[in-house]
Amino acid sequence: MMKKIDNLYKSYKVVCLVMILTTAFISKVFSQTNVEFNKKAFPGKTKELKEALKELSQGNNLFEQALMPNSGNYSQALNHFLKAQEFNPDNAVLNYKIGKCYLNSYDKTKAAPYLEKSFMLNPKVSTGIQYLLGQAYHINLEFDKAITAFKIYKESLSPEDLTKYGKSIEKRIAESTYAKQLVKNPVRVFIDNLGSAINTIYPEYSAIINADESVICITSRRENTTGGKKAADDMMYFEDIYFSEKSGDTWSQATNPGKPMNSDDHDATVGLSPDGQTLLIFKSDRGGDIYQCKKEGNEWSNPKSLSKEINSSFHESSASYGPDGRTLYFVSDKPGGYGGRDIYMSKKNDKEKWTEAVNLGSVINTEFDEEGVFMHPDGKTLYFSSKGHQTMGGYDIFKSVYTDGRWSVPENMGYPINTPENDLFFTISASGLHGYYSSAMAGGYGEKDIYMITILGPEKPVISNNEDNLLASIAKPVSETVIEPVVEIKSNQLTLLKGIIIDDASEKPLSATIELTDNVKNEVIASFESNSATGKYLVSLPSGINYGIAVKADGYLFHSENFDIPASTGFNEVVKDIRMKKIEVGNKIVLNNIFFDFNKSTLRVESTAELDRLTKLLTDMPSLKIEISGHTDNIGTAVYNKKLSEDRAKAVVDYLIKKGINSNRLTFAGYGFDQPIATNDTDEGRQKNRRTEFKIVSK
Amino acid sequence: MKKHLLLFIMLFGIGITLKAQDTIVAKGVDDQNAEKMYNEGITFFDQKLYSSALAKFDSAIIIKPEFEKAYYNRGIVKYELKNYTGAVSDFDKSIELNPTNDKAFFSRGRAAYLLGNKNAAMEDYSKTITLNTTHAQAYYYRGGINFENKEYQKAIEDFTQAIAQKSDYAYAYNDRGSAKKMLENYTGAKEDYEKAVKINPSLAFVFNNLGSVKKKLEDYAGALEDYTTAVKIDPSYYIAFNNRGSVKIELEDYEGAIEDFNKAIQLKPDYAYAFNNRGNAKYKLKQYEGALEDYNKAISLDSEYGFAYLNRGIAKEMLRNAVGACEDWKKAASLGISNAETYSVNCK
Repeated sequence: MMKKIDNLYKSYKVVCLVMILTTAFISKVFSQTNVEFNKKAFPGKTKELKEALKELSQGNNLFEQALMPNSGNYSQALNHFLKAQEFNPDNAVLNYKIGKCYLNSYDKTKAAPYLEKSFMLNPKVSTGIQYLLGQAYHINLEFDKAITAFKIYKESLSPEDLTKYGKSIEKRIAESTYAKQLVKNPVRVFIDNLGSAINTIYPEYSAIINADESVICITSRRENTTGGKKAADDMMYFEDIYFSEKSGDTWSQATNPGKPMNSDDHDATVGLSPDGQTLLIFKSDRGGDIYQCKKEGNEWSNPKSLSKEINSSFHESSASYGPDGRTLYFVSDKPGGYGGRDIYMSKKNDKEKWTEAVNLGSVINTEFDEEGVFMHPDGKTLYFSSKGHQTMGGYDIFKSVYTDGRWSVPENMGYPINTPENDLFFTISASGLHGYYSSAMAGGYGEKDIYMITILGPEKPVISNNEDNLLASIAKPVSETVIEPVVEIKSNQLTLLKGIIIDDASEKPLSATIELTDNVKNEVIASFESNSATGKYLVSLPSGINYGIAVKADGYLFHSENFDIPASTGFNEVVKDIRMKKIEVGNKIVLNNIFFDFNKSTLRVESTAELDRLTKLLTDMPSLKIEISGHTDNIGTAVYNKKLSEDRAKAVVDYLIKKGINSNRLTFAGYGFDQPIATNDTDEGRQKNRRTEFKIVSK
Repeated sequence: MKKHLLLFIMLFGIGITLKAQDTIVAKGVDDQNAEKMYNEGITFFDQKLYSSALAKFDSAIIIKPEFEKAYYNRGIVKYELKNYTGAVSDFDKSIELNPTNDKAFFSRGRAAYLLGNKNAAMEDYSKTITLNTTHAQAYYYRGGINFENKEYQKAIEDFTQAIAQKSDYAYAYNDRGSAKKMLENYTGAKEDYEKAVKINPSLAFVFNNLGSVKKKLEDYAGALEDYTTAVKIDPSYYIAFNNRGSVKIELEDYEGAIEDFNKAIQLKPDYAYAFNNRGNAKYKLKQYEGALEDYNKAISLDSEYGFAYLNRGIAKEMLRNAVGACEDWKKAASLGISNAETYSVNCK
């Protein structure tokens, strides 16, 4: 009996031992237990432990000194932490800190595995672990996991904390929910890095493009910053502004224009006028103000602060001109708005002064921050970033169109233009085809890079063709008629007019004023200058106006152009080089903004602006004598056309006399179709031939 | 399809052949000789010895120049020999001698049609019907001309009459179905095609028509079945392979679609439609280079193939060749493709 019990006991011992060993073995292999950095856990590795602890300590120092999210401290701490991690990968707190560092660096997508591990090693590693996990999952587009984590975190809060933080956690959950929808229906785009001429291992962002995409200016924090110093709060080089120009398909190497535009402190891009000749920049003065630089020839002027109507003692961070250069949209966090940073608008009055800024209202502005405002050269489509409305995380880029006195409900630009992170400073070409923004996505040159987005629009359906033997008695099959599916291609409604202004005789580039008039309202819309070094000009003409364009330069006859653009006309780019003629006897110009009723010699009221220009010219130069001549196309008899053209020329002269010009300075003549300037075989040519001219008879 | 046409002509031919009982008892020696020639002609005709038959009828007419039935028969022989002008002339004479012979009007109508004279054919068919309201084929062929003239409602009425006179007139059901399809009465068309195949389940082209009308009704699974039946009956029916491929694209079975287009091309190596459509299936699979090759081939087969330019432009856009895409869309727009006009809006 005892022997039996003895044997039983022995077997029992063996079984127990086996179980213990197995459990220990399993524990070692499968369970995650927190491992501290001490001698007990690492016997015989004193030297390595000491090294690891040193790294840990250095990392912790930097970690604790980080003053704000995304501070450079986190990236630097990370370097040390990762070394300690190599020695001991199973420390809950270290994994947690590494996760947090990644979440505050440019490699946010790497955070999740570390946070997951830290949680497994010690579910109580930090009260905020679920919140960080939520963020990490959200960044990685794992939205369901993110929502779960945020919900768990919310449940864990005390009633007091819930009141404080509940709303912002709800927002996080809403963002992940909305993100699922956006990622499921991505917008069709190509995304291209602008390349090494623009992007470096340092951060590049806030890309501003001019209307025809020939000039880009960016903010970058690189080694050759003016002054060469780093900002104390994040240990990264101060911001400077850089420029690049495009020729063909290639961007030139980005250059730093140095002082006075750039300073030793932060200098950032804010906005560029459509012609690229006026730059708005941000300087850190007075809590953050916006300055303006003008391009004179090849040099940039000293930055000038925008008036007090724009710059307050609060933080102004972003601005954009309307196409007429007389409207400014800008961002400020001054009190009196809807909360945080809001978008305001100011217009220039007749005295060229900015008037009181008006908040764009609650359709655009929210209780959260709005930032990065950009008005499209069409004058009515506004792009901006916001943390409000519906976003998929951080700031998202929105678009709103101003029609009939109202802003449309802002439209989220969709994924992948928007991402879980902050999406800011999106600018778009006049054509609407290319957007520019910055992103820290993988595959760049390092930190944030500038990317160009090509917007493809809705899918273009490919169409198949089929046929059938419809009739038994006919061998030849009948093709199926194709009803093409309707595809809407949205086009921005503006015309870009650009070119070079030169002296007709010497062919040298000229600095001239380009004045845009609304012929129907007889109102000057805007005035621009061509570049004195290159003669280049660019104006944006939103559709729906009969534009009179007068190009003026001292000592030259004004050059007249007419662009009558119906309201829903889509995007068009017109290149027109302009030859300016000196005020010399014999020189003549075509008055393109003089209009007559059909077959009559009655002047239409839209001609007023041009007639007044002519009056002014004659008033300014009292000794000038001119001939007004009428010309026609070759439709109709010679006699008829001669009479009509003469009557029309006379009508102009009568107007000038009525305005006080002495009649002995004026002659008129009708040349009928005797002096064509274009072929009479096409509609276009005939229209060119139907014209009024004036010629200098004596000076 | 050609097979069916031939079959029909043979049936028609046989139907028209005069039987021995239509001959007239000879009166007198000349009559007897003429009759003898006439009967011998019929015998040759039945043996498909058309030239010999022709000679016999010639002889009969020489002997008896007012021999109405000989003219008629000779017209039939000339018709078989594809001498349609000669046929018309003989039918003219036959009709002159006997203006109440509905068959002569009908045959002359057929010959006139094959000479391209649709109006004259139409008149003759109408005259046939006036003389014989039970002449199913006259209604049928007149319906065909109405269809060609895009008078689809009139065509439907004619086909309906043909069916009323001949309840198993599968072709009339098919053609009426097609006329209904042209009037966008797809359900009605479907019913008629179904009736046609019920009467004659070996008509591949009708199954194809049935498939195509189901495609219009967005019954893609049904269409697939019908096209499959069509090619089962006629494995060389490339039209049905091309159509089935298009339906597979709708069903998002792009690989399957490509197989069908491959088959169509194998059967007809210059089938521009199949190259275009195969390009579309490859496009859907994001195989843009492959799609481009197929569109290139389609265009090389037909340099005015507007839709191929449209599609090629779309593929070029995805291959980052914006300039090439614009060129293609401008070309497509000039060929009347309205979407291409829209796409060129952003082109320089």
